[in-house]
Amino acid sequence: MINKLKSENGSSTILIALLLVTLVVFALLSLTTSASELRLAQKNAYNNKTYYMLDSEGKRFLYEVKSKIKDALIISRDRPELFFNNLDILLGEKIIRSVNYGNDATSMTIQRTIIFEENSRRKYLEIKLLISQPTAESRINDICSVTEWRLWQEDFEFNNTIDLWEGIP
Amino acid sequence: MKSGKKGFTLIEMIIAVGILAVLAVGIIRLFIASEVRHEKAVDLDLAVLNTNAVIEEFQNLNNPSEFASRFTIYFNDDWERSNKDANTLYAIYGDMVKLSDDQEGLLHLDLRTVRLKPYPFEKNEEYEIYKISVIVEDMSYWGEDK
Repeated sequence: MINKLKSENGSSTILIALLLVTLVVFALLSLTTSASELRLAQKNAYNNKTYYMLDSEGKRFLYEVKSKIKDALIISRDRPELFFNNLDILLGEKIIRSVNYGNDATSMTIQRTIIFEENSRRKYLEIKLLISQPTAESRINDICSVTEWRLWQEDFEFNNTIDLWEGIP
Repeated sequence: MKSGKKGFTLIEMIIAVGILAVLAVGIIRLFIASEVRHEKAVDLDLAVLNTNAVIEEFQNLNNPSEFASRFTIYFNDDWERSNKDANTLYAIYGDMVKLSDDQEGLLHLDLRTVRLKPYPFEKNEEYEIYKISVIVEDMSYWGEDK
C-alpha cells in the first residue's frame, strides 16, 4: 500500500520548488537591504544639504556685519573713538548685540540664531561675533572674529516602543 | 507514457523548463534591481563626500574669486580624481559666480555630481547623483580694506 503511494518523480520537483522559494526569499531580503541603504544615503545627503544651507545663510550674515564695520570705519576715520557708536547705529534694530566696556578696550558681541524648520523639526545655527576696537593697522578680518559657529538641533527621543495588541478587537 | 516506460515526455520537459526559466528571469531581475540600488546608495554617499571636499577646498582658498568660472572634475570607477578617459565614470560639474554688486565679497558655488554611464538596465546617460549650492566667502575682499 505504501509503495503504491510513493512517487519517484516528486522529490526533484520538491527540491526545485524549495530552491525557487529560497531564491525568492534571498532576492527580497537583498532588495529590502539595498532599499534601506539608499534611504540612509539619501538622509545623509539631505542633512549635508541642510548643513551647507545654514552655513551659507551664516556667511551672508557675516558679510552683512563686515559691510557695516567697513562703513563704520569710513565714517569714524577722523574720530576712531566713535567707531562703536557709529557701528551701533548702522547695525539697526534687527541685530542683537551688546557693547562691553572694559578698562583697556571696548568690544562688541553680536549674536544671531538662524533657524531651519522642516517637518516640525528645527535646526539652528548659532553665531557669535566679537568686534574689537580697531587700530590704525587692523583690517576688517582682524576686527571681526567669529567666536561661535555652532549647528545644533532640538533634543529628540527615539520611539523604541512596540505597539502590542491588547486583546480588544 | 503510452509505452509504459517511466519518464517525462518532451512536451512535459519543455513546459517545466519554460516555467523555471520564467521564474528564474524574475528572480534574477530582483537581484539586479537590488544591486543597482546598492550601487546608487554607495554612489550617493561618495558623491556627498567628494562634493564636500570640493566645497571645503574653495572655502579655504584666500582668493576664490580668481577661480570664479565653470569647471569639471572627473573621477574613475573608484572615485579617484582622474583625467577624462575610458575609465572615467563620475564627474562633478561646478559653476562659481560672483554675487550681485551689493554682495561683492561672496561667491555662489553650484555643484552637480553625475554618473556618466548608465546603471545596468537603465537608459539615463547622465544620472544626476547629487546637487548642492553653497555660498563661499572671499576673504581677500576684506583683506585690503582698513
